[in-house]
Amino acid sequence: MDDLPDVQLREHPMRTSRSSRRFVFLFAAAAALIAFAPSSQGADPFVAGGRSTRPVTVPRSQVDRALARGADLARALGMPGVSRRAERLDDRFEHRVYDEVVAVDASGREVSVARFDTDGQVVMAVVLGWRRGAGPAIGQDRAAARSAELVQAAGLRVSGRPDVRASTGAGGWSVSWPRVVGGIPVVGDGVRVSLWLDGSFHALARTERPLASVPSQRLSPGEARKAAQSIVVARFRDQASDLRVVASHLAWVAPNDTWAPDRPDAPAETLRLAWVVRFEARGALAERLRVVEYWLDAGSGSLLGGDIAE
Amino acid sequence: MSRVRWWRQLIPPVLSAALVLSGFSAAQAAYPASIDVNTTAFNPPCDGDANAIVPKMKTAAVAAYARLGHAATGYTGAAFTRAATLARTVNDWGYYVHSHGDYYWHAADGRRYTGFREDSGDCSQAVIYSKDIKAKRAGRQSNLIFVSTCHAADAITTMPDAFAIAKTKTTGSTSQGPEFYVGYIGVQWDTDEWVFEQRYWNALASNKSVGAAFEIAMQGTFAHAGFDADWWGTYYWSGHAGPWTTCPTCS
Repeated sequence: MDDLPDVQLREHPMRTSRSSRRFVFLFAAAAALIAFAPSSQGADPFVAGGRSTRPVTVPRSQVDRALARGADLARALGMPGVSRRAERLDDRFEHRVYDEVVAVDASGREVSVARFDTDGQVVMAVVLGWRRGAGPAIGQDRAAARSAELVQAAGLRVSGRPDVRASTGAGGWSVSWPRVVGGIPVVGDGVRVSLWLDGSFHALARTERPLASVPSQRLSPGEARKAAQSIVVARFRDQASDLRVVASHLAWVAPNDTWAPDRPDAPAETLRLAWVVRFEARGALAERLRVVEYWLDAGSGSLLGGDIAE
Repeated sequence: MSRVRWWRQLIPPVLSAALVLSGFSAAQAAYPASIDVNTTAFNPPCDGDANAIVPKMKTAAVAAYARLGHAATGYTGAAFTRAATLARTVNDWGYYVHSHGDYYWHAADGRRYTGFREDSGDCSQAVIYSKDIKAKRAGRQSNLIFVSTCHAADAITTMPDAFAIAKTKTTGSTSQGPEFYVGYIGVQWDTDEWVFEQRYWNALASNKSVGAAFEIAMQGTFAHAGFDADWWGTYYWSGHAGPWTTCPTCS
């Protein structure tokens, strides 16, 4: 965070009797127990069932700065809204603090949301209301070019040819520039633009998480496959033959609790270099899981997490 | 004030709080929501891996539906069977399910329906077809329906109809009532579903509409570029339990 929260402390001038202080304390405690016990959670880390964001108090000047950034981005991307409000949020699921700027129309209805890192870079922008564009549909190449224009307009830099795919949830096209570091993909990171079918702007998302240091020694591809197959044999026993390796590659991944319930409910903040070994299921096993991935630390071979498609 | 009696002053506020809460619980009881989660299929002995994502999906969904004013209850293992789900669905206003889903062949009807597998606490899990749910609900109104399975929101899905939700997207000042259906397109990965769901529940808890929450959830950090989901219903609806009784567009 670039500025500390503005915490206001003041002395309470009123003197209270011992019994009334006790009364106030006990009442507050009872009320808290009754009202908040079912949904309470520890301060950190994020726990499933709770909210992942919480407001952070900041000085008015920072709110004004966020509002100005929101107005600038709205102009650049053509996002609607006649007035805006802003607040700083601490997102414990995503491990980041950002300023959220919500724009409303003349009737007070929310029409767009933008989020900015505390350094002012856009994290997310989305036009609300599912307002499909009215123009003729554009093709894949035009979607890529249009998205590049929007990324530049948002003050971000990307390079290389994007991944362009039709997406229902995006409203038409999903165009992404995955982050690659030293030739190795950073899973989930990058810039993604959502366009309506006619090429008008729908949304933008940017993720760039910290990376751990590269291990001094790496498992070979063969060692990684062997380690992953050992896990499969140990866990699936007589069903192990129903799983076959279909892919194996190095990637930066966020360690998770997929195979370890004692780990935090949110993916880790810092990404680690891993061998991602993917297995595909067949036979009866495929009725429960379709594909499964094991993420092995590229240096030690320890299991960092994984994924499953059911 | 004597040391014996000071605590008596707590009685009125505590009683008031209890009454308020009991009234709130009564209101919730009017709008049940079932959260069915298939744990057994994705844990030993059915699947060699112990899957930690599924239980937290259940926890998150139960909490989210409760925040929306439902009497939300989670079911898994032997409590999530085809028979139990079909018995409960008659009264459910909200419904969430996480399981193995597909566009299953129904031999007796000679056609396919969207469906998902029960848990049942063992490795032999029957399919619950959309037609089964539709027959039980018989067109009764639904609120928020979240089908966290593969293929639940494919273009050909038959699941929204089971909950009497038309596959139309209503935005602006029009509405199709306090109903919303969310599901995934094609085959999706658990970690992406978890990211989407956490963002969705969090946006709803921040008073975003069900449609806005979908759009915010879609901007998550997904591990797989092919992640996709879809929705049908009333975009500008709060997601709160129950029918609209006053101003529909105010919600």
